[in-house]
Amino acid sequence: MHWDEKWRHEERPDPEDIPDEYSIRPTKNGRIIVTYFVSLFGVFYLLFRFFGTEPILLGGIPLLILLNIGLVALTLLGVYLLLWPQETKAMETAEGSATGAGD
Amino acid sequence: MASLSWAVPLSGSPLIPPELADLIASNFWIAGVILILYTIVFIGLSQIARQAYTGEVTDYLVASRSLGWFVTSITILATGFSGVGMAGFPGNTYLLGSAFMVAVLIGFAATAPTMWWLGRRIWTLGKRHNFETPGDLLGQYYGSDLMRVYTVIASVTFNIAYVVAQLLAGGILIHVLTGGVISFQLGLVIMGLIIFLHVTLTGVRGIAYLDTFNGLLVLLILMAFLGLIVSQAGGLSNVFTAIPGEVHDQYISLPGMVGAFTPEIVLIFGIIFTFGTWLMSPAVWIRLYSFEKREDIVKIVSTVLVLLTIGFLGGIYMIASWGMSQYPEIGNPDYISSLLAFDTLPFVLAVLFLTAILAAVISTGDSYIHALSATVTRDFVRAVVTDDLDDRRELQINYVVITFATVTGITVALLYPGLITPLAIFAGGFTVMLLPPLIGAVAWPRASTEAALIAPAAGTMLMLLYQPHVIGLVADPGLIPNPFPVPQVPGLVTGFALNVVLFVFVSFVTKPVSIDRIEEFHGYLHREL
Repeated sequence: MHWDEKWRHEERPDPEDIPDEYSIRPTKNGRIIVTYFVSLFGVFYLLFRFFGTEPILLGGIPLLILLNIGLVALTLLGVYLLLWPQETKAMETAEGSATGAGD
Repeated sequence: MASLSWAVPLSGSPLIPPELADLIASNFWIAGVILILYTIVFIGLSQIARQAYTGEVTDYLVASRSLGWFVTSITILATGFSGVGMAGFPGNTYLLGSAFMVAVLIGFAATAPTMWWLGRRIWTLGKRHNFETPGDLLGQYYGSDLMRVYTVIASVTFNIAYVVAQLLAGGILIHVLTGGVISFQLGLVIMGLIIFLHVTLTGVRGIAYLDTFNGLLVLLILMAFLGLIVSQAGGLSNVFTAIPGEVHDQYISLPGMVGAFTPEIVLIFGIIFTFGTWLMSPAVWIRLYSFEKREDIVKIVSTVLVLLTIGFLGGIYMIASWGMSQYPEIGNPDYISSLLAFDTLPFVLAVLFLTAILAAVISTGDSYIHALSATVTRDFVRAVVTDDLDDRRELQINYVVITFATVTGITVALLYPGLITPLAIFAGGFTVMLLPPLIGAVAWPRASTEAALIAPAAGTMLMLLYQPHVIGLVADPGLIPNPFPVPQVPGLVTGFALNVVLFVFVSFVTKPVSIDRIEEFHGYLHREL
């Protein structure tokens, strides 16, 4: 057995020594993403609360299920409008810095 | 035909209506041909995967990080189309109403952006530090072998429970497909042996190839099922208007049939349940190391969300809904999809549908046994027991663990042939407890090792105090009285909430991990993302 609890022997920093940029707080783009998805689920919670509890069929389909489809569709919209550009931007930055490092 | 004569006296099975047993018996050769055809495809795909298999541990565990986005998407999708999804979820929707399906789909929707947020970090760190298991990442970040052991405990519990659920579903399917000739018990033993052979021969690449075929097959058949249900009902709206009047309103609205799924519970339970059983499952985590390009994560999460929604809503939900009117009284709701298939589809398609579920069961069983062996070998044997382990020996130990897991799975399934879904919910409780430590390791440098060790343990203990009765370990409702009509909810939700609160609190009163480790993880992610 070579059980190792390395953390017990390590020097650990004070919290203020952690660089601010590593914080979990989102950047400007990150804030937009968080706001979108949190608001989306908040709004749909209210829709489920006030309409999902009613036994209503719309066009023969339960309203509850239609609400659910709406939530999935808007989640996908968020993925494409907000997450995809973020990923593309990150890749361009990484490629740029790799080229720079090579120069 | 000789084989038919022993297939005829099948109507003795208590779970298969006599007329169905007779139908299957008189068309037994069709079922046999379809099963043989599927077996040929199965062996062919395994052979292709074997040719690409390098025999190295990295290839066995994460396919040398070379999977394309489509194969990765479908292999993640196939873990959703499991025996739990295909047999357990229709049964639970039948019992609990649309509310249950809505909770699951809300969970999938919430998982998509979360999987993107966590997945790109897991992928980036995995590539940088050559991580191949959940324990690699968490154990290294927190500098603790106990943390690694936590991931092993979560993996063993989750994967064994899910493998048991697959075997139970497989036993049901083989029992129905043979019209009762093969008993449920023998069926699940056969299932276990098939899974065992496949996973030992091909590694994660073979699993991914088979998943891709199985996932697409399941999706296609579900869509055909949807079409025929609508056709038989005489229109989509008739599927819902045909639901018996006394349960109709509860079925189509919240809080559902047993009054438990309030909007709050649907949202909270759906998200935590899906995070536990899917996002945080070791098999999906390993897939997040296995794809080739990081930018593919957006394609993967969106493809999975679209296909899961189509499959679950268009297929599984419609099966449960039409089953409500066709089988208002049913002994075991987990049989609803199998019975309805023969009632609604032409015989060939019904057998194909059951074969597709069987395929889903094999895919999920493969993935979870593979994840179990990888985590036990890498995070316990190699990391904790001995550091003198070359690749060849590590592979051999993987095979030993797979053998042990298969035997354990079969034994537990034979001893506990209960409802499928409660077992899965219970299992998801263990894995979701690792979510706060994961967020700490990839996004919150303030997290401390003490918090990562204390909080998940406390959350799991609280969940266990509520849960033993759910899987039949004790007869009474657990050590804490259950205030909810749905027994799975309190343990999962309150255990997870305690975990989160403790994780944050303990982190704030202790010091973070070493600054070098913070640089290796958070510094690197900051530069890369």
